[in-house]
Amino acid sequence: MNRYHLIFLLSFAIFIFFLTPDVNTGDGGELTTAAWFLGTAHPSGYPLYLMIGKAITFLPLGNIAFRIAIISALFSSLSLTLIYWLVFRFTASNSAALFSATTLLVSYSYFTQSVVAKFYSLNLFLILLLFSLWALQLCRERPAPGAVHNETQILYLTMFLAGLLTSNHHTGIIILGPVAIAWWLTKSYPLKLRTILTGIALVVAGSLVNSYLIIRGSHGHFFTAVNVDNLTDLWEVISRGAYGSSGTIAVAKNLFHGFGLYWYPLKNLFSILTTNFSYFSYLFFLAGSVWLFRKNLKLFIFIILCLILYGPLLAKITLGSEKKTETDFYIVAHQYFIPALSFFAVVLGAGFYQLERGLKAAQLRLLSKLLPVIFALFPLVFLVSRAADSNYRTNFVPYQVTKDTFSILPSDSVIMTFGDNASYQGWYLKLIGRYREDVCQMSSADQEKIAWMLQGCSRKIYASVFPTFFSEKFTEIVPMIQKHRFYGTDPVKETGAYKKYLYSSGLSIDYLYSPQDVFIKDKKERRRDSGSYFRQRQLEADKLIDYSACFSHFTDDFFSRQLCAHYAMHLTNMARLYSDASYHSTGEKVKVQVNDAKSGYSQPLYTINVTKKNRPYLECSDHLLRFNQWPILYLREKE
Amino acid sequence: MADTIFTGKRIKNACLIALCMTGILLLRLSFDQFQSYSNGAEALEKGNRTDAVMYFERVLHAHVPFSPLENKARNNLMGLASRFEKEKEYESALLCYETIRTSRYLTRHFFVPGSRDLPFLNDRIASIKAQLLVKDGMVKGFKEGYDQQMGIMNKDYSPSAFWSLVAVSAFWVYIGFIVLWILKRKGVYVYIFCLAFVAWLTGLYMA
Repeated sequence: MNRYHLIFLLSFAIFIFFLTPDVNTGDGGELTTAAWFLGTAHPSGYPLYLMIGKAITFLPLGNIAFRIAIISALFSSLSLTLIYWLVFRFTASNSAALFSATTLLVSYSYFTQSVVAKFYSLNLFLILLLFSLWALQLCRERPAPGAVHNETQILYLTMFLAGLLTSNHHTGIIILGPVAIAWWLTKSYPLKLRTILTGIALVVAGSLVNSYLIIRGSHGHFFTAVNVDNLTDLWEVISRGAYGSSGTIAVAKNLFHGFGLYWYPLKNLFSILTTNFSYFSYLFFLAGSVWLFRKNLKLFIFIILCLILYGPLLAKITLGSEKKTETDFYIVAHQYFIPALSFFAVVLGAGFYQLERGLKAAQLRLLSKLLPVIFALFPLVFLVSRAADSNYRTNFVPYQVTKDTFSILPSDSVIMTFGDNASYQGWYLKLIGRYREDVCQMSSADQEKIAWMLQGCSRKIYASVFPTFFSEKFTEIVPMIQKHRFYGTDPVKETGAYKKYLYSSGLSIDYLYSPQDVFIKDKKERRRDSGSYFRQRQLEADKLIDYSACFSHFTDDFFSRQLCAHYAMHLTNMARLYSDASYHSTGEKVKVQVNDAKSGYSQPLYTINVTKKNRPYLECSDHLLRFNQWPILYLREKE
Repeated sequence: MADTIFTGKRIKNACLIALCMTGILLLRLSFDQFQSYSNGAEALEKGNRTDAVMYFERVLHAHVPFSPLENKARNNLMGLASRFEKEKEYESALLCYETIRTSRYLTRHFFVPGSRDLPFLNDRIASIKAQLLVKDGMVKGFKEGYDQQMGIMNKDYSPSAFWSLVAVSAFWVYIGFIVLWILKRKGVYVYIFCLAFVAWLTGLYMA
């Protein structure tokens, strides 16, 4: 075992300790389900990630979501080891290499992406492989014996990795720009036709991983988040055409418009760097840049080019607005800039080397050797911060909320899940976990138009249970809805497409959907009082759900906090049930209103009599909302 | 051949690293199991049955083969379910049975751990749901409801474990031999890559 193995194992151990114990919010549920069923995920389909995911599902340890999250820990540890190795090659200093690795390890965004199921760590590893190959090539004065020294070999590896990059996140492809420059800077002989043709063949061989999407994405398969029936569909998925102005091609075009609009992207990028590395890091960055510039101009150009492309340019197309929402912080700022953080950390290592040289020059004897090691390990102190804001080991919220969403439903119900979180987590629990198989889960991105996805309610399984439902005629579904069998994770929005057909009422952590009066033939049945049903179901739900997960997680996961607000709705509903004077009124009255931040729905403002019976519910709701308020999101707070 | 890449020392190191990684995972999961089981036992002692179900479920989710705590957690959940049934708390009993069943499916790999419980769990779940459906007037009789639920639960659309394994193995051979060809340029690697690629596609298609 050598020091590289130790760096890898130690970082792996740290990430595994903090790793999410179950399904996480965001894409985690979808990726896990797609990997298990060998299905497809949202565009760009992520076939490479899913194949790695499927391989790891055979591991007989933990649950399937935990296993998929191991991929993040694994590739993040490999990336850290690669950075350590690279900085060591530049500086020949263990401390400088260690400083780069530890600084990146404890940075908020890098750390968080390493402990949840996401494809960004795999993406980073592929990017860093290419980066290392060419950085080393730029450093090399003469080939090292036994190493991969042949220019053609490196070119071939690059071409193959370029092909592979098309089968993961589209930001990976950006690295090919700096790599092309590096090749131009290092090439010592003109390319032969054979080399060019072999290179093209290797790009094809790498991108053939995408043929997974054609085979497993067709309509006949059990789980597909996107369908790929022909080559046009394949191109749409790989280029993320479905996202319109956010698609890969559209976004790339935007890159070259309005060069004057780089102020806010730059400002936002500095905000991200400062949050992750603190103001002190700029000193090291400056020292590192100067040293790299003087040591190897070509290498300096290459690294800075990588940093510019993954920094300001990426910020221009993804984070360019003055005002940013929580989603901008949580999805864009927190995920897309991991490569930029890594390149920044490499330069920090070079800057640290200057400090080390300074200490050596000061001739402090033992201190000259000891201090660099202490300083290099110092960033690990910030693991304490990560234990408070990114301790995903404690985050059972996504699993628990999803489970409770299903648990409180009566048998043979239909539930509509809106948005990625509710839908993806539902798929994981229902399709892999086979929880509440009597319940049919329909999914929809939003309520703007009526468009259902039926991954959680396969016709193959449910056609016999809900025959009227599959008739696709609303009037035929009405009798089932009238039996209180239709629910949703969001309320029916006033401005949405469903309003014409349905209205909703909050019941525990879900919403009960009822048909609009015009669809009910029997006038006596219209808007009948469901008070007794509500009371009975609310009381039953109180025995089934468990909101303690919302009090015991140490993560500032934006979506987990949103999900916890559902429990506050349940608790206030319980408080209303027990507000009658017969429950020993205390004489106090409180005004209560709960906002469902996810759907934007606010419960009506209730004035509730405080009784001995409902006081615990009111207090609990208050504590829960305080514990889960989202303005404390780490990136936002630092802004 | 690839003898300069796969040297004895490298293979030994790789095995050692894999062993350490497994040890790290086992430590984490065993710790989680221990912590959750203690919390579950404490909740059960205090009579907080909802919390107990949640903690025992977490023990099952942190699956470690041959773990004695897993068996204890499963027994506690079974005990809670039958107590709920006796007290006519059918939905709570259903929650317990469903929790055990789901935990088994969520920890499956080549097979479902603790699959010997599944026939009993399916029977109890179908019976309780059928009772509730009859009560709500959703089905005409118990048998109709029971058969309907058993019909749903007996279907499994997971891909074939064998063909999935073929696809996964062939995929790594496909990637690995392209890299080997780049490093070593042996013509035979191209043939192996082609074979592996076909095997991968076949595995994907058949799974």
